[in-house]
This record gives sequence, C-alpha cells and structure tokens, in this order.
Amino acid sequence: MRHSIGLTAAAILVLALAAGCQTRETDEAAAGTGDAAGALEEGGDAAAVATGDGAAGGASALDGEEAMADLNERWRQAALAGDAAALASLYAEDAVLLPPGMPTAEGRGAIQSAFATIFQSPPSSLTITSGGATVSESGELAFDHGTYSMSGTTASGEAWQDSGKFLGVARNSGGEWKYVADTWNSDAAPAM
Amino acid sequence: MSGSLRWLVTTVLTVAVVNGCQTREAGEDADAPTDTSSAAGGMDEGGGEAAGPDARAALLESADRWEKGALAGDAAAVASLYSEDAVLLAPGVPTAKGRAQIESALAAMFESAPATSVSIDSDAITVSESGDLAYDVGTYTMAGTTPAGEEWQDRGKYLSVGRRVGGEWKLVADTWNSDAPPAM
Repeated sequence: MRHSIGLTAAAILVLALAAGCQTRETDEAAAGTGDAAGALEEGGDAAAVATGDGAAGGASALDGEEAMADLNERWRQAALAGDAAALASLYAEDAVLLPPGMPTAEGRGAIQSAFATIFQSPPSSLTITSGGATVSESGELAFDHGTYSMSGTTASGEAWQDSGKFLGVARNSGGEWKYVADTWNSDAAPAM
Repeated sequence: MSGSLRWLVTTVLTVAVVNGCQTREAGEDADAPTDTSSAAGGMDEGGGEAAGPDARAALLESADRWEKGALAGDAAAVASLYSEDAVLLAPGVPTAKGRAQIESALAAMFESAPATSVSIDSDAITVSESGDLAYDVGTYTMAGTTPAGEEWQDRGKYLSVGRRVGGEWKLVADTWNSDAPPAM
C-alpha cells in the first residue's frame, strides 16, 4: 500500500516533469534555476544548445532546434524549482498541456494551475534527453520528443522516481518560441 | 486488486487506442474543413503545394484509419500510418522507434486490451506555413473487454504529429495518456 502511494505520487510528479520536457539531459542540481534560462532567452545564443548557427533566422531569432533545446532547459530548471508561473510562461497563450492523470489544460492560465498541482513536490533531480527536434520547412513550427528520468521525495518523506518520454510542439510567433502543445507519460505500468 | 488489474489493462489499452489518434470523432470523414492555420498552410510557399488542406485531410484520414484498425485489432494496418522513422510514445512502455517496433507495440496492446468502441475526437489541427508539418490535439474515449472477460473503459487525450514525406503524409510522432489518475 504505501508503495502504491509512492508510485502514485511518483507518477504524478513524473507527469509534471515530463511536461515541458523538450529539454535535454542534465542532471546537475537544480542550481542556476531561473536566471541561467533568462540569460539564454534573448541573446538566442543557445549556450548549451548544440545546434549550428542560425542559418535561418537573422539577428536574435533562434532556429527551431535551438529553440526547442532552450525551452527544454528552461522547463527543466523551472520544474526543479517548482515554479509554475515560470513553466507557464514557456507556453503560448493558446497552448495545450496534456498531463497524465488529468484532463487537458487549455491556455496559459489553466497550464499554470496544472503545473502548480503537479509540482507541489518538485523533483530533486530531473534529466531530459532530446531524441532530436524536427522543424518545418518554413521554420516556425517544430516538435521534439525524448525521454526523462527524475526522482524526489514526497511531502510525507517518501522517495520516488520515474522515467518516461515526452512530446512537445513549439511555434515561433513574433520572434518568440513558445510551446503550443506538450505531453508526456511514464514508462512504468500503472501502480498496483 | 481486481480494480488495479483492470486499471492496468485499461491503461495499456488506452494507450494503444489513442495511439494513432490523430483522428477525430468517428463518423465524419476527413475533410470537414478545419480552421486553424490550415489556410496558411494551403498557400504556395516554397516547397509545399497547397498542403494546408491536404494536411488536415490526411491527418483526419489517419485518425479514421487508426480507429478502424484499432477496432479490428489490425496492428499492421495501423502501423502503416506511421513513417519508417516514427516514434510511438505509449503509456506504460518505453518509446517504440520505427514502424516495426510500433507494429509490435500496437499488436501487444490490441491483444491485451481489445477495444469494442473507440472514439477519437480531434480538437484542432495546426499546419506549418510550409505545409509539411502538422500536429493534431484531441481527446478519446474507448472501451472493451479483456481476454479474461473484464470490461474496461478509458478516456484521455492525444497529441500526434504528421509530416509529408515524399508527397505522402505519415504520422511521425504520436502519444496519448489517460485522464484518470493512477489506480491505487
């Protein structure tokens, strides 16, 4: 029984984590939370990003691959910080979030509420590995899928861990990339 | 316990069902005009020939075929809707990469949790300006009876991505999950 509860909690957390996920591996401690992300955003020079230079966009625009990597990393950091507002800010106003165990959250407001619930007990470690982003020929729409693994401790002190996969779609609107659809699920079969 | 088992089955099935999902509510056929960016997609753009409408119709048809394939338990038919390098992210199991793995994953799902009813309802299909990439978001409900005779049902949502490859639309990434919290 207690195991069940742990699993359930883990599942919920996992879900949450996976959410924005287009991120990439990194397991460092939550460390530089918000600001590292902030630093990346504008300049568009995706430090951590692997992509080449934007053959596409001019000035400060990130190309699709860079943008997905950037969003993923910012998502990861916000999740580790349990910051629902920061997570929601990565989504378009009309984005949809499809978290396991709850109905679709439509719009940034609903998405923030969902994250607030999901991350009541944020993970203490979160690794996101991208399977590779794909960008439309027109360059404004991209999707990324990959895997995640995370672990933490529930409010009641129970350790949990989970691994699964995610699928996220992002769009460049007015020079800014935001998630427009995002979901994930655990590799583990439902707890007994 | 029986509840747990049922849940498991349900989940697995659910997963399977939703899978290809880019579909939409059963019944209607593909081209019910949609809104979203299709119009944009339809443009001429560089490479894409009026792909907006095509993309929508293709995704809706995929959904319809997915639904029919799931009801028939025909994993090969459903797998044929995916590109050779597609990924299927089914709940409860690792990512299936490539059409062969996808077919195996679907076969396992269809076998363990046959569906007698599947309803896939597309909420919105959005197409890239170039018309070569599109995604579909919607919900599903399904039900069936396991080989052991246990009835199951589930509802949830899906996200599917389609891409035009060589003039043909295929699903390149597909996933779903249940709205129900994990069973206790």
